[in-house]
Amino acid sequence: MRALLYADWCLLRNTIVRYLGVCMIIVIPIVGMTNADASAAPGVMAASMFTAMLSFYAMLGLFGSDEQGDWEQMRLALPVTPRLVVRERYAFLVLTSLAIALTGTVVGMLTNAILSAFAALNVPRGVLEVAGGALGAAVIALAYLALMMPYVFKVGMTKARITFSLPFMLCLLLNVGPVRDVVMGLGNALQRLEASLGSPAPIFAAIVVATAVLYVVSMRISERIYARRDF
Amino acid sequence: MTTAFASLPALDLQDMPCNLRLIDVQKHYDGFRLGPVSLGIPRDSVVGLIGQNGAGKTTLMKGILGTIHLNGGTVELFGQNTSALADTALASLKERVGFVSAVTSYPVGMTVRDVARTYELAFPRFSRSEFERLATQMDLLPSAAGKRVRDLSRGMGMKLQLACVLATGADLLIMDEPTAGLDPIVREEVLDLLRTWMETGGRSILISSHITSDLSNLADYLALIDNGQLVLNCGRDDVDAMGVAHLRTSELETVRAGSVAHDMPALRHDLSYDLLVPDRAAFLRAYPDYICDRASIDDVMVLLVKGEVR
Repeated sequence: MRALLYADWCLLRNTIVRYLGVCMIIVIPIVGMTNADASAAPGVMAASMFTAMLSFYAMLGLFGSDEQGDWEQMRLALPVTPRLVVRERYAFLVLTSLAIALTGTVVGMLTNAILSAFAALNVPRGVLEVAGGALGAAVIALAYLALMMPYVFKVGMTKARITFSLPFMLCLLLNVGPVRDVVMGLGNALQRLEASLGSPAPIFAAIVVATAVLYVVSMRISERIYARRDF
Repeated sequence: MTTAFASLPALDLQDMPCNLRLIDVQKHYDGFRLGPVSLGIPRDSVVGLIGQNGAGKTTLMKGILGTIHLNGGTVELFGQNTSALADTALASLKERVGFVSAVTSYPVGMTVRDVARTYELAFPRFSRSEFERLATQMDLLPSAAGKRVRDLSRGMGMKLQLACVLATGADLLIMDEPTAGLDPIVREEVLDLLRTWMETGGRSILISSHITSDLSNLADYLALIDNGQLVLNCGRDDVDAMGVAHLRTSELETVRAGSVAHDMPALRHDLSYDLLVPDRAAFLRAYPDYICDRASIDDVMVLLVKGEVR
């Protein structure tokens, strides 16, 4: 397991700095231009966008590297089993997403600081809100990865590449009237629930638990699928 | 085990201690069928696996390593049936097996140092000092320590694989054409390393190669696979004893009517036939007027694969 974690870290390390730069360059100006309004909580927005984007890029890079130069085959020739390979990847992505959420929090705080300095906005500085946004995005990203990974383990990254464009398509879909209405309705319902509970913490906890269950179920399915694959 | 030709020597490893034993191993793909193949890799010996491209050598190795699922048969590693083992036990057993691929199969962004560290974490018996000694001996260290896999030449990539695998403390090496594409100097270095590695007792190598001269110098046993079937499995001495008789049609008829090489394959040329002879000395005693040269591994392979029986 440690060898696989280390190998994944080596694979990620090569691309993460580049992705990190790209995401910062994209996120901060977008948030600055479109949400330069204190009430829109730009720091939270930047942290969550950054975390979600980088989590997807990380997974894309990792699974893509698996197929370089027969590494998938060579990896299974090490003292590991297919089940162990799957478990390691799931564990690594959780660790990575948490690390990215931490970095996302820094990016969110940086966005707040930049907007305060240059746009003279009195944006809220609460690190908890920003960290919550980043963590929320990480949880959502992991939930989506949980849905997608069995398919990636089944067919490999090259064939499964199309699934990575789905979140971006979903974002576009949110601008379509009826979809937007449904999402807004859900948002309003959540706000009402939060008001009745008196705190967003129980809702957030429930989402985290549901994602954890989904993630474990997804891992079990991937284990079965991957154990049947030939390389 | 039996071979397709009754006159050829057949190896019986039933009572020999083997690090790896394949029993009726089978794998089916659309349009290709491997096996059933039974083959033993005795302790303290090197088994050379030969055959044409697509004959099933790599498939067999993948079956041993568990990177493909076999449709039948048993793989016994160090006396244990791998399909009957739990995950942890199988992983522990694989700590004693090193694999060398025909191509450098590490992610291209990894450095030499990263690859070595991955092996160090994967194999509890990995010796860092042994790796450094081997890598330095092969001019990989210190200059290439920070080089990425994508920047390594084929020879350097193979040296990296070897330095890693030989330092793992493995007792069995599975090597898929490790000398293919290497220049003669590097090839000789690789073979020397393998010979030295084999000096420690209890070790074995299963090595496939198209460069049969490599196997002449290294292998104790030879296994020939053709079209998914094991056609020949015998000792190096058995191959050394074989011959190629150069016969005219009438001479071939005479030999076919006898008992020395009556069921052996012959390859037709313009005016003559090349006949594979299992025992050159016995053949020359029986037919002193006929020409019979020593058979190389290439001769044996070509005649068994392309030759015709009657």
